Amino acid sequence: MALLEAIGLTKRFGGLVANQDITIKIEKGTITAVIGPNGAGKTTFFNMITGFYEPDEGDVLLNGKSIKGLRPDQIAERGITRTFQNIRLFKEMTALENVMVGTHSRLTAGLLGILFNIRRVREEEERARVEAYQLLEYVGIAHVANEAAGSLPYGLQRRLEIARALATNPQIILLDEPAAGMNPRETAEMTEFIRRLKNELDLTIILIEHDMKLVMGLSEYIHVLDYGRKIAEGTPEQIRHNPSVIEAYLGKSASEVS
Amino acid sequence: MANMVWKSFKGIPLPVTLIWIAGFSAALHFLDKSVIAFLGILCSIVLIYYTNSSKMVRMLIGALVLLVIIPLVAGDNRYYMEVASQVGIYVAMALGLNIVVGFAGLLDLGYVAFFAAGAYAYAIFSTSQANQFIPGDLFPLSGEWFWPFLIVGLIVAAIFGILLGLPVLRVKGDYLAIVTLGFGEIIRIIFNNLDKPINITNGPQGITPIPQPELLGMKMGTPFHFYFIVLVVIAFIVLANLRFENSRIGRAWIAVREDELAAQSMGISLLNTKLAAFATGASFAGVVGVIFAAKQTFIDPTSFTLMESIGILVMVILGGSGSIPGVVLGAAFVTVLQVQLLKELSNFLHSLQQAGVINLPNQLDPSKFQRLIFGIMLILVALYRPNGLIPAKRRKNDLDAIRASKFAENRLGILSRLSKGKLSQGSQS
Repeated sequence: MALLEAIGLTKRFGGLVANQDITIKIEKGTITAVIGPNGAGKTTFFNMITGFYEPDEGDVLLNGKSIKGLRPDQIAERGITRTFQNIRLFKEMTALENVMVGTHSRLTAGLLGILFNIRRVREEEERARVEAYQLLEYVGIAHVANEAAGSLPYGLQRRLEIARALATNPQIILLDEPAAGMNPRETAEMTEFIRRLKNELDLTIILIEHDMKLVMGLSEYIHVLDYGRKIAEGTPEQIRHNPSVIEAYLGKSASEVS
Repeated sequence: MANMVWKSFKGIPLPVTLIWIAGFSAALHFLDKSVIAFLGILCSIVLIYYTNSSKMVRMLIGALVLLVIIPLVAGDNRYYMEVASQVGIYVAMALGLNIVVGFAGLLDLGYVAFFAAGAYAYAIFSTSQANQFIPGDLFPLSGEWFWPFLIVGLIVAAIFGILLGLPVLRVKGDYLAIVTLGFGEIIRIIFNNLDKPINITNGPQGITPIPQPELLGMKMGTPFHFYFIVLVVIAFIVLANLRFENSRIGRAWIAVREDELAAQSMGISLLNTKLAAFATGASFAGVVGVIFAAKQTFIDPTSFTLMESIGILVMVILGGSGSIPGVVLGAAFVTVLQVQLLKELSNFLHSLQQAGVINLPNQLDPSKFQRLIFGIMLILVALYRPNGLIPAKRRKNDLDAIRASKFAENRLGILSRLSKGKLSQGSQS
């Protein structure tokens, strides 16, 4: 059984069909890429998986159980987390605190427990702090633990956002353009980093990306969207030679020329 | 340039603070109704906050000023104690609103409704008013009941907060401000009209005489007593603010304020988090409401208008939204300005006029310019200190303590999946 299954997902915004009948299966422990030209509906697809949009039709199964209609926080609790295309950190909080927010649903402190500062709450806080710090070390930004997230350089913000997502202890992580705005060297580093996430943390990774070098080098399986429909799927090698993919990216005449 | 000066600022030397305190204590003692002396001693709290010495020393001096010096030099002066307890009431309210507006970022323009809920809870059940709708002639209650009613007020206001929050928190931003404004007014109008068919609130006539607190048979109705009651409540609310600020729930509040979408994808439930903020803020207002009712011995709906809500919001924003010392300063400053400074200035100019020094037309009376001065102050703060007088600052964690923690021996959370062999050094990637 696939870890995550999207079955016939459709989302309409008024007259615009952002996603139509998208069926995608994700196996555990794989890196899958969702690619497509701008406006193809990739982020809409992510938003349906993570509960920000409710699909008009279709269903999303996690371990065979439907998670359709759950709120984003409930889906996060069930082990699906994400990063955003335009980094969304809690800018005023420190890097460490950002990651601590990720531990939220695994902590139990209530208002009264915090008010009376009971032992259990103190221990839990200390543990969360240590865990957050370890995650910062893991992504290589522990030296800025006490800096405000908004003041960090772009590359570190990307890493911090991933560390924060990891703090929710996910099974699946959705990365929305993790290498956007990076130079080739940074992109290569990010590629290596994502591979490490999969290998070392047994994560299942789904990513949206425009950088073809990253996509082809990293993903085991690729789904291609265009105008809200899935036009192709396959291994990087298959996708590279798929005529309808070339057409979608380069236009019709180009595919005829090649 | 100004920023550099600020950064190189290491704090005020301790002797300066001590001399300041001594000077204004003397002034407070010898001058009968001097707002300046009072402001001076209030400012000493700010001075202590910025003094260049250890936290223990500063807390000790602060406690000394609040608990010993002020009561000792001004304790038998009704005027000073009255101003001080009034300042205290607003400080406590502003700290409650700080949780809603400052931490959770929910612009609440109906905050005074929760204050009213607490005040009416005590007023109705401590006077014979409750006999109107509860049979058995059980009321009025004695002043001893004031103490349990602090808790009752807290709970009643928290329930109000949740009931109001449930419908209201579905909207965001500007809409939330408008909806809370509406609900605040609705509550006031309900209190104004709930004298028929069953007389619960006695309508516009208000409720009196509300018993003053008693402890072991001793009446505690003077401003001197209220000063201490308010001080204890403020201490409690400050403690609560501090604990919440760096806790699971406090982080969730700030996360929701900063970015709702990201907060949700971290597993934070928007509704629960916002409701917790609303209920917590409301409950503090409820406690203060009980004190207010006992202090005034008379309440009617006119004490709970929209202007009050806005006034408290101004205190929070002026002082520094989300900043605990900032909010305390903002509330103290605005209250003193509102209730005393302008009135004093008017009196002073009147006395000059009577002595024939100046000729002041009635229209130029400073106490009539309260709103104008408020407005100018807000504009100045918005332009030059947009984050308030003392901007909020996140606590820096002690990283050495984290590395030395007993939990640091094991890899936690998702990192426990790392097997030792697979581990590569994070810093070199």
